[in-house]
Amino acid sequence: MNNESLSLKGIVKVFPGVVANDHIDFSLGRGEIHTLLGENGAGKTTLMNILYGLYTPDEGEIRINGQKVQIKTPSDALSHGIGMVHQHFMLIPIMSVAENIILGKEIKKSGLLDRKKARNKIKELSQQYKFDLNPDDLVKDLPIGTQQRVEIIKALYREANILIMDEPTSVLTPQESEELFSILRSLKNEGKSIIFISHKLKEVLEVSDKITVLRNGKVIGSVEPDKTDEQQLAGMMVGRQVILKVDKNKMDRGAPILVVKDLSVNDQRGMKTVNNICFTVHEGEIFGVAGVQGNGQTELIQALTGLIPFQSGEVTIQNRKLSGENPREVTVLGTAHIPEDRQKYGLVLPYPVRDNLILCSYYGKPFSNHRILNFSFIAEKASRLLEEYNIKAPGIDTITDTLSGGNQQKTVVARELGREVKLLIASQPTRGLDVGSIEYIHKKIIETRDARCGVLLVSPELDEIMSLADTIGVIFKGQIIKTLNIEESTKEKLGLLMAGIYK
Amino acid sequence: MKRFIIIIIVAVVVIAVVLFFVLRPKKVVEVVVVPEIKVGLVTDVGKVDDKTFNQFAHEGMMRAAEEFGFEAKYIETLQPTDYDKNIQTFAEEGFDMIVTVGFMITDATYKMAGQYPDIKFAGVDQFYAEPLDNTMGLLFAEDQSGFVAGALAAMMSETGVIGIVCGMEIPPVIKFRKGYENGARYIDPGLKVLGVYIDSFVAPDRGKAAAEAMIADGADVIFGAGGPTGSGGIVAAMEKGVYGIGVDQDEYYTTMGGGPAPNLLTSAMKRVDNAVYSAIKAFAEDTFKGGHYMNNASNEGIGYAPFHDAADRVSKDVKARLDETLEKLADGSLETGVKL
Amino acid sequence: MKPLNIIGRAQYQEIIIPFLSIVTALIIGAVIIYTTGANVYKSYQGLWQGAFGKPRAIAETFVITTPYILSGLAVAFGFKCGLFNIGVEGQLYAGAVSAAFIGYAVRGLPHFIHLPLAMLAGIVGGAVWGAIPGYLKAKTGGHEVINTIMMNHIMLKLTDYLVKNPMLDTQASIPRTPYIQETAYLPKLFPGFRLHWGIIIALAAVFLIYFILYKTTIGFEIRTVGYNQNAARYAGMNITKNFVLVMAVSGSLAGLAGANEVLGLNYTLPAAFISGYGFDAIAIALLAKSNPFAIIPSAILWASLRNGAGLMQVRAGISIDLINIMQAFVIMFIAAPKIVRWLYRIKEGKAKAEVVLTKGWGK
Repeated sequence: MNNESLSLKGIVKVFPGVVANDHIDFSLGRGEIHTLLGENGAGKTTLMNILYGLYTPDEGEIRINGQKVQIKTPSDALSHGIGMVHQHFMLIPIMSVAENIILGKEIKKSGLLDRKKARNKIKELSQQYKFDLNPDDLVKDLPIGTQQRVEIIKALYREANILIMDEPTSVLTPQESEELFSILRSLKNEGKSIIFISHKLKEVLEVSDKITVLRNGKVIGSVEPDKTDEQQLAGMMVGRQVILKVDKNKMDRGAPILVVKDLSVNDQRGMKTVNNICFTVHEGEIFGVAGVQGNGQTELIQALTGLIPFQSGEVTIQNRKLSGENPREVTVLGTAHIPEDRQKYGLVLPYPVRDNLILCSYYGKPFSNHRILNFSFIAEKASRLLEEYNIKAPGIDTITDTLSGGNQQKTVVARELGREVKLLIASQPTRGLDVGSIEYIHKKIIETRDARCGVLLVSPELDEIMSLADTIGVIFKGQIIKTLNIEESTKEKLGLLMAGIYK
Repeated sequence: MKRFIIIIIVAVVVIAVVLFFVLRPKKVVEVVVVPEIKVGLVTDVGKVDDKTFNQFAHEGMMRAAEEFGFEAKYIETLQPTDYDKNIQTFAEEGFDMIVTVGFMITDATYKMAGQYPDIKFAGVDQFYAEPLDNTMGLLFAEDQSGFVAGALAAMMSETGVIGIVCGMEIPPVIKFRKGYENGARYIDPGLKVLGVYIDSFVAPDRGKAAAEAMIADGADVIFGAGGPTGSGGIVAAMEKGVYGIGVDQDEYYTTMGGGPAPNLLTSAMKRVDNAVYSAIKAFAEDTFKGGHYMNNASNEGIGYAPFHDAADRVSKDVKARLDETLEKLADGSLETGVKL
Repeated sequence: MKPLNIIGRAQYQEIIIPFLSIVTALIIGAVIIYTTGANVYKSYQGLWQGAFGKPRAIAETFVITTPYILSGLAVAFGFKCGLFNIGVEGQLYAGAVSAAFIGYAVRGLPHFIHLPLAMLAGIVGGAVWGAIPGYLKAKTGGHEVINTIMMNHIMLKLTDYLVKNPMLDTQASIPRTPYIQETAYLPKLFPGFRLHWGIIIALAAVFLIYFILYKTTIGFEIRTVGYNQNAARYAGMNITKNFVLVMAVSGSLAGLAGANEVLGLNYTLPAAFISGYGFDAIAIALLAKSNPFAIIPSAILWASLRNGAGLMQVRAGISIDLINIMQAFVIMFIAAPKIVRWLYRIKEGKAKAEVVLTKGWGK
């Protein structure tokens, strides 16, 4: 018996100007977790969309259980037993778990919804795979990790044998990721095949049976996890030797740039989430704020950058006191801001890259004169930034939405650091990015520090803080409970502080 | 590009096929009539089958056109800003006579009559301060019609309160209302008459709401004077079991759909159809003269419709007194007392 | 298949979908005409000739095109900032009533002062009436859709009151304002035709709005706010200021449309001046996908349908409602391009060409 549940041969997909998939061969065994590894834009998503019937390949064939098939729509894919768990969940928040799962494949009894039968079926599946789901919970009340399980059950409910998981861990905490992996293993033991898409090397090595690396639309090679390591995988992905460790000189601390004194900020619901916080960022220093998500980081950054008002306290940037809730004032004082959510705050996605590159400087000379935009200067500046920051876009008129996440973030970084700055406020600057982009952005942050700027870095990833920061402040319940030099910081120490345990 | 060409070809083929089926010669040989005279009708905002004076003007035109062998066409006005344009469309198409319906087209009709002196214009409900040789304003003694309705309402009312739901506050409607009030007082000087103007002729909901309020205040006869808005008032009367009186034409056949309507007393008639017919007839017989033509009780331009299902509840005495009132109005021995 | 080189795939789709929507609506119209027993050829011939058959027909089409361009532009300008201005009708009235007042009440001014003054009155009237819901949105978060609808009703009654009472021409046979002074006339473009300079002003407005939107920092802010309010705030733009500004400019365009109707066409303001332009304007802006230049053909299409309808009825005796039905189909196809894509088997372009019209009701 052929143990191959899916095979792709010579898949080609061309978009205007781009060969997204270039003669890709891929085979998935029964009961196998097979990882597709590649940077953003390598062609992983295109390939999966072909498999899921969202795109039609220009060339090549798809075989399922040895049978040649045509997949033209997602319902074709489903009928061939292919299920997909999207990166952004396709769930309706106000509906219950059961309703979400049966949506589109309702069990009917004489024309009416047979809720009882549907609920039992879901309970059964949930027990079989140890999902611990209550069919009656509303999706909006569930944590992200549980919502993902709803998506997985949705696919199983539709009798999927091949499960495509598109970047499933990008939204999960480390603990949730661990739980997901154990679910994936039990699915595998039940004979389900899983295509796992990721660019996080550690977890890929942990969970996969086989790893296929894509780069620029081509298959670079397939390896087994016990015969490789992170360094090699990263090299295959990027196409050159990658330095995973950040190299930097010792800090040369100068005068204070950002001084925060007794700052209190309320969140949207009026809860005091930042509570009399005090800290200082100096020239030539990267001040890292470490802490578990939801301890006031978001509000702190938004208040400092003028997006929300602060209740009390004092913020001075370059010895100038902020009036509060005025982003323009903060920008004019020489502050660059890489926001936590680049798509929500940092970019106007339907704009061409050019317009996003001038989003914070359009109002001043020489970008505009008497309110008339100076297009020749803007184009020149944008082209220069595109090149300088290595943004992979066909041109400055490319719509930002069509860029990969890494290039979108580079666009933000180019805009923010492409002007005269004395202070960089960066919040989760590498969230959801691929190895190459992370490396690049880390390098830029260090360069900024070395150019005698102050850097305030907020990140929930302790690794990132520890490899970049010179000084680390641990935030807990809206306060910096301790400030440490990088030399005296250890993961264990910080971990305890982040949990609020300190002496 | 290939796809684009395919789309164009498909579109052309579809259009060609549709046109072929539509345009293929009809099997019935049509009698080719070459009408020499063309008559056109421009409605007020509304349709030629909207059961208001638009419809009646159209019917009058069709009757005349058939009798005199004229070609008759109409344009239904969508917006008040289109009056000029619609009249002009007929003028440019070489029409010989144009009938315009409604008080609101007065200015446009007068203006176009000046521009096209060779075309005859007849305007329903239109009064021209300085009539031209080719304009005939068709006016109605709405006050007389309303007077008769008021008299009947007063005789039928038991509560001593009657109501009237009017359309927009324009002269024909004002005359209906004042005539109604005076007619009621002619019978019973102490009668209470409730009334309201609603600034639209096409708001039956608002007419209905207004009538319901009046009924709640004790009114037991509702006169709906103002197109569909007034008809809304009559519908309310039917629902609440009080009497209703229609306007312009016999609403037993229009609003009530031919009955049964035991509570519809009558309708205060305004024979727009007769007036339009007469105007076209005058044109056909070459007796068309610029000026105004008053349609009133004496020339059967106004009157009241049969009682229909309510006949057994209207006593002989009431009917006799009603007819006497109408006769007096016709011979001039009784005046409505309405002046505008 | 090679991708098109002359125009990008996205632009190609932006043109082909509206075009096919119109073609499909005409075909459906033909079927409707046929089933009602009228002659399709005669109907469409009448429609065409009524709109473009003679110089006068063409002139009349452009007479209607004028307010359509301005009011369509007003709606489109709002859309660009994510605002849905349903109040164009009311703003148009505000402009018409202001222009009419200056037009008849102010005497003794030379033409070159009186006419611009009357137009300015119209613009200001519309701007004020638009700015109020804009201000309410900025300060209280009141949704502009609700408030502009309310403002429409207020203006309708207010105009009716003004024209029938303080502004009434007691000599007139219908309730209307006195005729405006000749010094406030917007001149005719050609002798003997009703077409006036308003069309030139409307076209100039298209260029001006395009320039503001795409060449100035003001437009950059407006579009940024329209696409992504968070990003606009991040970039230091004043969102509430933009709301008020956009509603005022949108209202001023509508006001200018109303002023044109009074100063160039009617020379008076009648009480029952129910134009309907303000509501057709929404359809025109949708058809044009809020692109200022696309407003022009879109307005011409709407105007020609409305203008040709009369002759179509004369020639074929078909109900004038057919025009409304066809317009509704065009809008339906534009709003749901999937239908047209399915009908003509057009694949979706890679680039997202969807227009962000307005933000949701929340907040």
